[in-house]
Amino acid sequence: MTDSIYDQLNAYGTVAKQRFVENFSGNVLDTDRWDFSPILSGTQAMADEVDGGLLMSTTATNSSESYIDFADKKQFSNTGSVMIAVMKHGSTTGGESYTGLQSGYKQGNGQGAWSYVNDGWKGSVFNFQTADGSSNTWIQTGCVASDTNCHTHKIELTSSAGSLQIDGTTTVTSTTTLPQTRLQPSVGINTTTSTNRTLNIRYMECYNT
Amino acid sequence: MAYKQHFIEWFSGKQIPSYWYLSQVGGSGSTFVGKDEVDGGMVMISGTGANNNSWWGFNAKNQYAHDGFVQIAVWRLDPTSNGHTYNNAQCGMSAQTNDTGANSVGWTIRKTQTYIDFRTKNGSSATDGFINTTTPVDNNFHHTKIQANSASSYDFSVDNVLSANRTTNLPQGAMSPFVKCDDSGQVPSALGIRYMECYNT
Repeated sequence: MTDSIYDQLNAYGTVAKQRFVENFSGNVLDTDRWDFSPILSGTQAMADEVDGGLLMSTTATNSSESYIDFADKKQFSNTGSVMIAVMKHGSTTGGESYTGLQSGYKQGNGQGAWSYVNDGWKGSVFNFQTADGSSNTWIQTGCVASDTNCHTHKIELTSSAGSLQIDGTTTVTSTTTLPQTRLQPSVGINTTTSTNRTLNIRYMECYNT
Repeated sequence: MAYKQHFIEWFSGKQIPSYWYLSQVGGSGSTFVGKDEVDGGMVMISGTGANNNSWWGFNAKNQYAHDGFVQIAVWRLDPTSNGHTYNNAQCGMSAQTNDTGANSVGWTIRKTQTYIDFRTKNGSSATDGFINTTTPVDNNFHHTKIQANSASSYDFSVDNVLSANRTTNLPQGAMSPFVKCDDSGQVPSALGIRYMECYNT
């Protein structure tokens, strides 16, 4: 007898909450699900590469950006949700790279929680950034050193804390400037130099807890 | 055992994927887009005009066996339905691209009824009407499950409670998933849904 995925993901007797899995596979990004917002000709395309997933790129123009989200369909709870992403950064300097859950349009615009890297500004680690609409916090102590290898980034939000875990081992927690409103998934990269920066993402899963 | 047909729809993001097909049976302007709400999933609007009636499915690409499949869905009569007496939302499996033909099985939430009910249609005609459960009609999300144990035995459960086992007037041909809403007046109904899974057993 075939088992349902539903029964493997949900406790018996419960009604499933919002969840999705994105495999970033195929010919093109699923733009029924995702909204792509480039600045200064940033791009996204499926990578023709083993384990390449979706390749997001800036151009070699300062402030160029590549960014995807759910077009402000904010279906995930700020007090009980999880986001898991498997991704790698083509560089950790010369701009920002991030993935997380957020309320606004583009990182730094609105509330949310992100795995964030920008060695030139916030140290050579995968920061845990949170924003509550008025202030931002970048947790660096205890975070994993940033690099250009592929990692699993997991963010969990509860009513009292947020946490970032890299590769299932190192976890940092924040209890300040937590998002105060519902959220959508987001992935973005920008450049602050004349460097063409890239990001590959091959898996994302988000669910309410 | 070789892997059989199996799909999951998460109803997350901007709008319904393009592999879903709209059959606008009556009226016009049906939409199916992400809802900006925690656990909101997507919301499907029946459209406008007299007898507005929209049906979203797989355009009769019937990949699920009538004698051995499961469909699980989490859905509701969306509260943005205008409250009209004839608000009606349905979810199930059918061989058709509308609800006028044979070989169909599904759940219904209708404002004209006190309880959520289900209905089956066999291979020749709609010989069965709506069959009541004891779950009241409301605007909450419900877990519904249809399990074809065989060609002559279907189980129906709502919110994980077995409501019925039926052995007559069951579909006799392959089917595909559908969601539908309509209003026999001139005002739209809305169906909310955040999960669907179908697989052959």
